[in-house]
Amino acid sequence: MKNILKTYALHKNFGLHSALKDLNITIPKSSVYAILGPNGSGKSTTLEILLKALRPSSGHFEWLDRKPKFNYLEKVGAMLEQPKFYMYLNAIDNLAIIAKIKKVSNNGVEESLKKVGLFNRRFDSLNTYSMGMRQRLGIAAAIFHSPEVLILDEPTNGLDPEGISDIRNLILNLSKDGLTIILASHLLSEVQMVSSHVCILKKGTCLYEGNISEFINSKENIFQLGSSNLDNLNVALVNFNKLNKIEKHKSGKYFIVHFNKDVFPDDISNYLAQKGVFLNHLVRQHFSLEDEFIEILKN
Amino acid sequence: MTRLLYIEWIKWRRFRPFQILICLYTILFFLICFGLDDIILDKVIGDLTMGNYSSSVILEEYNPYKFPFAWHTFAFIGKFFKILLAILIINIISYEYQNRTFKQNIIQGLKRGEYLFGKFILVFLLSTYSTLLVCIAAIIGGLSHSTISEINFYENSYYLFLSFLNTFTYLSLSVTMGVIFRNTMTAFVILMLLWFPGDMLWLFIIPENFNMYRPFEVIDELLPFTIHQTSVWKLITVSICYQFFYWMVSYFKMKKDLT
Repeated sequence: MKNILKTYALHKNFGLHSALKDLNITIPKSSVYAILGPNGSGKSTTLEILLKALRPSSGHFEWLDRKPKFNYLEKVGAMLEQPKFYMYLNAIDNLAIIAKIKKVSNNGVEESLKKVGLFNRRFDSLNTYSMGMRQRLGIAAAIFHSPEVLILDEPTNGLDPEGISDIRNLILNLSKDGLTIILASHLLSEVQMVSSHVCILKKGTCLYEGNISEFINSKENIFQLGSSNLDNLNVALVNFNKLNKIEKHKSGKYFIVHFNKDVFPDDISNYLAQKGVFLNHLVRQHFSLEDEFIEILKN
Repeated sequence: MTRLLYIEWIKWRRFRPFQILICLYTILFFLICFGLDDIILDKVIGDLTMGNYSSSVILEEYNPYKFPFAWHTFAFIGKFFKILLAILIINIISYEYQNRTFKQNIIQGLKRGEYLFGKFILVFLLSTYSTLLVCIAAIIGGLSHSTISEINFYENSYYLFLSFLNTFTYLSLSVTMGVIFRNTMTAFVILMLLWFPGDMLWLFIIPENFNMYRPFEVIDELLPFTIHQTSVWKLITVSICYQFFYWMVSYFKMKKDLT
């Protein structure tokens, strides 16, 4: 896959605090690239540097298929946390300003307002909008000129469940059209659902970067196992040669057992039946990014 | 150019302070020009009455509402109202900083230089507007007080240009204040402080020969009450230098981070 953006040892200091340390990431074309991290980990700082709103303290980044003297920001649709607008103007005027800044026509305005469900309110002043509606307008502003790259910072912040699901579908559809989407989020479930690549940030350092499916599949299989006699189950499991880790669930009703990657439910029930232990509870715990994320952050 | 002009136009045409201050500026200016002309005349004549001249003779000779004096008179009245335009400019700049729309503009792809050039256009247009008002007032006032035969229409009309420079220099400084302090109240108070005690302080710092070229003195001297103390060309050159300096300061301040 062709790459679209590469950063070289980006650093950013705010006074004595360093918000970003030695960030080297590569963003493939047409990917949904998620930058994931807790609050204050440098996600927004990274995006603001890419958008030229901040200058890196050292290091640089480059857009790979860029022609010289080309102002790439005109090809980028961006929405940072809580998009800022001219509050006394209506939606149409605000988007007209953006269109002029980006030197594009505003043909796509009405369609994008329909996409985010603001078409009926387009002539109302933004003072009358709710926070979620401003967020939606932010997304409309980022997509109305059909950009090549979309940069979204916490796009679902402040939206209701319906809005969140709308945005998720929108991201998936846009990515199908070949758009590169760079996304910052601390909502891991969100990222897992939409993105193809992930970079995990902690205190400004990148802990993991790469393909999200590889990331998840490289790990072990986890099952919840319960039986009427937990002690017997425990004894039997400890002798299973592909076992990595066993722990009792907080409720005390079953174990959470980590097996090697190649262990499947039928292997387990077969083995346990041979030992004379019968399960009354077997659930395959889907490996979630959340656990891995918290795990990585702890180390 | 037209693109930046258009951006500024959409941005501010519905901005309440813009509408209010422009209306206030226009109404107050004409009110003072034509509502108070009797009082002003009495005052001026009172000051000028001396020796053997009777006030009616002086009024006939030196009536400030007559051409060619009208240009200077109305430009002089106009210069006191530029403070309203300064408030407007500071308000606009602060709004863009405080509401973070400046940052948003940059993110969307506006270059910092383009942003500042938009403000330059705005200042240019506001100065032109104020000059236009002076021009209209001078023509109305001058024509209604002069008799057709004695009109020397073009003499002294360069005061219009001085009026433009006066407003433009002052508004350029206001932009710089707004860019540095990013807050309407702070920027305006500091502008005022620089004006009154600040301008006095320069007297101690710079050599006596250059006293005429203190930042506010130059602006003020462009439209003096009576006649120019210094050569007009020197004043024009120095005020243009100041304008250049103010825009440069704004530009370099703006080059820094946006947080």
